Amino acid sequence: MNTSFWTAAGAVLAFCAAASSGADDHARDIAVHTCSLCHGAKGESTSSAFPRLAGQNLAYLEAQLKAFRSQTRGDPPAQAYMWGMTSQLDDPTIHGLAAYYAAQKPVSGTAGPGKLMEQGREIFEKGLSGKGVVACMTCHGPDANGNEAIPRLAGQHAAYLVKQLAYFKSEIRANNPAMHAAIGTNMSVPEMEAVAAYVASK
Amino acid sequence: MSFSRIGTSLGALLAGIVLVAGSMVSDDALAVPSFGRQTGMACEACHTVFPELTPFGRRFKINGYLLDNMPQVQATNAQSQKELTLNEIPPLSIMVQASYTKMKRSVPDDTVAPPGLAQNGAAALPQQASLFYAGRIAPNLGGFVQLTYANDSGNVGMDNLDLRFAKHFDLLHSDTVFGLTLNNNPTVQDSWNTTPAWQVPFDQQSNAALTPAASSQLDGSLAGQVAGLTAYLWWNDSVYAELGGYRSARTGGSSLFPKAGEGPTINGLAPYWRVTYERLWDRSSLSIGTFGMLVDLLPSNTSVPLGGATDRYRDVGLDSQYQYIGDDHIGSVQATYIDERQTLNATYGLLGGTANRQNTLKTFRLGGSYYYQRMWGGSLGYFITTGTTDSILYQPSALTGFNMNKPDSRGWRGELDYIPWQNVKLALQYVIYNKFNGDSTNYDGSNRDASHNNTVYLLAWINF
Repeated sequence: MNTSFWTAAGAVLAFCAAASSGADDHARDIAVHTCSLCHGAKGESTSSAFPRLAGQNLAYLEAQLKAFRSQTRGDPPAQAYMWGMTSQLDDPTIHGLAAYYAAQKPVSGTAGPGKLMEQGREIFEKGLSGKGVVACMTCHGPDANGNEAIPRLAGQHAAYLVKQLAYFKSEIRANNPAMHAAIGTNMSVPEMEAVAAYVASK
Repeated sequence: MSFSRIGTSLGALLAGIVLVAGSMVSDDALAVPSFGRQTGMACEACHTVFPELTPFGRRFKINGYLLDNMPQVQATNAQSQKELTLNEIPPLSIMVQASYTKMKRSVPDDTVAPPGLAQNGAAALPQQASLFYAGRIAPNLGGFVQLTYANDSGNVGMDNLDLRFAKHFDLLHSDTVFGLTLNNNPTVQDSWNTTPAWQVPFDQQSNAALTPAASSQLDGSLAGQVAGLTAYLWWNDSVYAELGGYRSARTGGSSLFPKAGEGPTINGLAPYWRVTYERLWDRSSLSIGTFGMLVDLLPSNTSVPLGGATDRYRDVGLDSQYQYIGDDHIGSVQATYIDERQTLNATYGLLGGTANRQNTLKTFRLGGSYYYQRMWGGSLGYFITTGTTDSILYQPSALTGFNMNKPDSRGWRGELDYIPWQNVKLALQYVIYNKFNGDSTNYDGSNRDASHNNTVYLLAWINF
């Protein structure tokens, strides 16, 4: 009886491991041959129209992919590209895709103009007290690496980040923590550009 | 004038125009909602404004139209190999083009004794109506199949056809796509809008206006008349290389032997090649490439035996494109140059159809476009063709002839576009000819000037 139990348990574990490996291989295949067309083979996209995914946090990626699939993230590029791309992805594949990109080496940022960087650093580290904008590093961390479902911003395309802040402000992108609506609403476009340039350089 | 008289005149006018202009017009159109249905992605993913492709659109095509985000009917064998992936809903779509054409000076009904009676302003509903199957066919097989009703032919026939196999592998540590394409028009398989089949902003023109008569073999002369199989590699997301060959495959004929009234027939296999380098950075892309073909043609005259003398056309093209695709502003510039060297052993030597054994024909086109928010925009293009003077090949003839025995033409094409939705384009185009079939005044020997062929063209282009 015991022997049968352990044999069965072993078989189930082996099956699960094989299934998991299969899902990861499938996800890698999708990442390398499909997602790569916009995001780069290792998530190092060259176009600021498409976010860099290399080194992004697994939980954040997983949440976004599921938000695209459920069409709860509805900014214009999400609708045009990602609603379709994710419509047939199952949960194990989404997890595999998120794990693939989370494991890639992040792209190093490039510094913007000095004055802009300084203004951005100020906002990132101290916020805009008069406008009720809290310091970005409070959630995204001192190095802008984020944590779990809070996205990594370091090395991201500055233009992409500005666009996301604008989407939060206009509430086009609604799948975000409530605080981001307030942050976005109270930031001016030049302030968005400054803080985006700063975190993009990290 | 009675309605029947008007109808007869209009019919005669259209028939006349079709006779003189129909064979010179390339009817290319690409913008296929089938792909949108299959991928679940909006037109803007693959097109700036159709038919111009974005970098993603080029990669979608190079990857064999295989990207699929729809439920599939599938079959997998015991070795986990996919034996079937079939769209549950076939990726079909329909295109309708309606147009209105007006030339600066009308074409006479009776070209034998000009000026004759004439009505200027030709409406076409439709100019073209097409049915597409465009998308994945099998796990590594995709297709772009276009059946078209064209008002000038009055028939439904095979239009663009491109069947593809594509598969990834690693080459020199870089992801590489290997592909095969079976198609019916040299450059219809090309992914850059700088080669003749899809060259923007020259992709649409009236089929009811006179257009310059001389064009090289690669510049549409073989469209729909051939079958080609080519193999390509797309390496490291930057280098494209393609090699293959074409044979005659005329719709409505066996093509084994050239027949009077039909076009010429390719003798053997006509090799085709293409190399392109593309670089992407931020919102920009730049490509530079070359393409070419070596065509041996048996003239359309049965007195020339198979295996005998042929006319050899050696076409070499250079092309380049720059694109900027921002969120609000989209701009692009395309340049194409085609150099054709003709060695006319059959037409010159056996038939006496040319004054020279060797002729050249050079074509250059430069165009640019700008669109705001993919809704408003326009384009401007310059075109020039020059070639060898040939007193027999280029002879005077009312409307379509060459009084100066030269094939030279040049002019400008401007277009204003309104794209109310991503699958609908309304265009107002104006074509100016500074030179037409060799001269700017009295180019045909019947007192028609190049500017008389300046054309206003209104187009409604709808895809669904």
